[in-house]
Amino acid sequence: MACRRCARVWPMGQARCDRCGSRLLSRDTKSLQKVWAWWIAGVIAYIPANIYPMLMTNTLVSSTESTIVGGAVEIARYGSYGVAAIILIASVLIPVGKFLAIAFLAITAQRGTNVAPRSRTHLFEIVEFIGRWSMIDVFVVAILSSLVQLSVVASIRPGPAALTFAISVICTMLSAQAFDSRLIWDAVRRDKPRKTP
Amino acid sequence: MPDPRTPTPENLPVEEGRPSIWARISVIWLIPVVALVVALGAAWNNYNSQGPLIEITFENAAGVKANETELRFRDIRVGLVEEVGFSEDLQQVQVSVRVSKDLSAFIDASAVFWIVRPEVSAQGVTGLDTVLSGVYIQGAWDGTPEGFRTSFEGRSTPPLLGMDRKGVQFTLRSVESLPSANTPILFKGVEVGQVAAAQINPDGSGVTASAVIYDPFSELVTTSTRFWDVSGFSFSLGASGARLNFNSFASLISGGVTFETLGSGGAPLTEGLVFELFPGEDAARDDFLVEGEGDDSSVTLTMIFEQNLSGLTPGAPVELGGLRVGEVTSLTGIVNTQRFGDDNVRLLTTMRISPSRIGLGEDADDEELLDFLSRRVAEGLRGQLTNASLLTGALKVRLIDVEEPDDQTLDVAADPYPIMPTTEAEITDVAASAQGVLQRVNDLPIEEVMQSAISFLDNATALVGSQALQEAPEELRGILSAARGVVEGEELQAIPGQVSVVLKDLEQISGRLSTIVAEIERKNVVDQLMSAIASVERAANGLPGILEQASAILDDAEDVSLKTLADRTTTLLAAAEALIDQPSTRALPQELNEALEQLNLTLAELREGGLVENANATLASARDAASAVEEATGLLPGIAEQLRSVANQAGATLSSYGRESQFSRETSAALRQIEAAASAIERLARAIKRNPNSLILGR
Repeated sequence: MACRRCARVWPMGQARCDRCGSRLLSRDTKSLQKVWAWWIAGVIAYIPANIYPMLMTNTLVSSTESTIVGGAVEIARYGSYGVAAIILIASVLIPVGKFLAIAFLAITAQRGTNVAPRSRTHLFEIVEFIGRWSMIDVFVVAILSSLVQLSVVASIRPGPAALTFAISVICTMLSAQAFDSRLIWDAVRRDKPRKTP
Repeated sequence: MPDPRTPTPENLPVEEGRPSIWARISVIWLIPVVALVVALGAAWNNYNSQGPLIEITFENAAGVKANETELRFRDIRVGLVEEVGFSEDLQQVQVSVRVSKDLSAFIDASAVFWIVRPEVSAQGVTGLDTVLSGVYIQGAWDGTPEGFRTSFEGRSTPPLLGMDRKGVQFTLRSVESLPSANTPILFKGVEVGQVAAAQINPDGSGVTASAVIYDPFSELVTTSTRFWDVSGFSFSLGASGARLNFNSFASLISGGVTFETLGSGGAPLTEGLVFELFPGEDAARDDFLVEGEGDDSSVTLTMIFEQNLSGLTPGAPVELGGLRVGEVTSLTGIVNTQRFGDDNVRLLTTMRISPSRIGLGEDADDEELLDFLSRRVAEGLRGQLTNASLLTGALKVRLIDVEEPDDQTLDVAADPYPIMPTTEAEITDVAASAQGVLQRVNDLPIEEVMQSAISFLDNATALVGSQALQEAPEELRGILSAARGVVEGEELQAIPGQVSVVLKDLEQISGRLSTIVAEIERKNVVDQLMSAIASVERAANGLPGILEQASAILDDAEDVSLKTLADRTTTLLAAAEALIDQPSTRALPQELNEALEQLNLTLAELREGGLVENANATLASARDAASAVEEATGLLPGIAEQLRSVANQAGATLSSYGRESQFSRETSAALRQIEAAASAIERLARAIKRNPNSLILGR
């Protein structure tokens, strides 16, 4: 039985990992529940993150509020397609992709699938790896709003979307973390007897 | 494995009890639930907090943008324009504004909306922030919710009282003009209020404007307050002369309205009061004098003046005993053949009179004033047109008592106003008088006068240039020379010489007299004494004769011409001085004394010789002689007086010849001598009068 944190293998029955002190469980029975719970919370948070403005820019003459997609579209209209693409990828594509990936993994872990468990493990690893980069949008907003505070002349404030977006990202990260990747392989083992008869 | 379709309970393995649903469900599900609840709550809250939509119509909504233009209340955003469209007839702009929910209850009928734009006026720059940020809609409403409304008419100008100032709103009206919008109301130079844009009355009779006095200055305004315009400057030429007024350069440029509370008894300012705006301070004060405390108690009267004279204007004063008690409100002509018996146009003057100004007390009402006037009219009070200003020809109405009143009365029942009887106008028409004076000047025969003057001057020139007149000075000089010749004549010059000759004669006389006395002494007999005394008596008797003669001479001298006067005077002086002022004459008493001493000795001898009786007789005759001397002496002052009057006369005569001439000087000298002679005579007379016995007794 491997520790999920430090990957040290322990004999069955061991309650705690002696190396890192985390609880040892052969299978997290509530793993999928956690995944779905965090996933739902993330989706819920993601909706207002796209509806509400991400960035509120006050200059001397005007005040604009831009949502994630709206801002990207606006930037693209000015010709900065690269920047628009980065924003779209980081803020829309990746979170949405993560939602879909986690949902796919969770469903396949429950129901079984024809997709090779190896590919699914790869997918899981990608999701885990890329999850933290989803926060890039939040970081950009945080940095901008702390840098551009020129009182009356111009100021940038984070909109409510920044918060919900961050929550959403955190939720998806927790959702991904809650997924017990061993479940992928459990299904393989379970399927074998089915296939053999 | 047993067939599940034929269950046999005995064969069924004992299933482990499924863990309860709570055991199987992870706590982690709370998180999405919470998230959902929060999200739903937020959504609901968002929806719930979304205020209602109101629609405001504007004539002009320049700069208003959907989703950008804000609705502000007290400069705080309380709503956002969601839509900008047009009214159905496309005449107005319709702006939909989403207002915040908590304020919507207050957006009731009292709410007003206007668009704040940058504005540069004489009063300053406003709305500067909107230059950069764009316009916004300002809303103002009171603090009492009175029912939400969704449709509003937007104003084109901001209300006088924004939400940041409290004050009392009232109305200013004027028949002439009102200052431009946003004109400040100044009180002693401090801005205490503002006047809104003026609006013309529907009937065109004047203009009215809302105005506001901010708190706490509204306490300064009462019904006794009068407002007047201080915009620009005013030049007036009225009954009190010429005046140039301007308040300050600021008001000269931007205009202004000021006020003064002229009485203390007014009611405080309340919302919606109407005040008249007067063109100037004088008009305002005059109005107050008539209107008093604004109690509107003035009585309107009508007077019909026989003469239709120009110069009386509405607003002209009505005076009683020099005190202004009212003013003329309107003037019209009236023709009423039935009433007046002719077709002449008469001046129908309507005026209002304030009872409190007349002095009937503050509470006096119309009835009291009419009673008072009826009484006074019966006593002879009449209206009269008279000059208010000689310069401008303005007229005023004066209430005066006429000397012999006719039996007219105050027609209280007349319609529409009581009619007060009038008397003949007393008008000093300066223009007419001046014209008359000029006419008279014009009528003067100036040319004839000039002609006469010229001919007179010509004649005068001819006269002056004539030979005769030019010789006149020469002749005058001749006359003067002749006069000098007379004065310098030998006769006149010889007077002193003659006087001295006379004196010498007198000397000789006295010498002879002493010889006589010596003879008497030598003879030493009674007979000689007797004869001596007798001769003394004779001499004494002769003295009045001489004096009378002198008197006669002097009388003559008063009448005779100067020349003879001089002669006679000389003679008289010679005689008089020879007689009297001669030292030998003065010595006469001495000698007489000596003679008397001798006489005494003789008498002593005679007493022994029995000659006393003779001596007594002699003495009696001597007394007679003395009294004769006394009598003569009494005449001496008369002579002196006469001499003096002669001298005075001569002096007066001579003075007419001129003081400076030689003649007069000499004559004066002569007269002084005469005076000296006169005073000598006087002195002698006084001496004799004081002691007449000394003449006889030698003491």
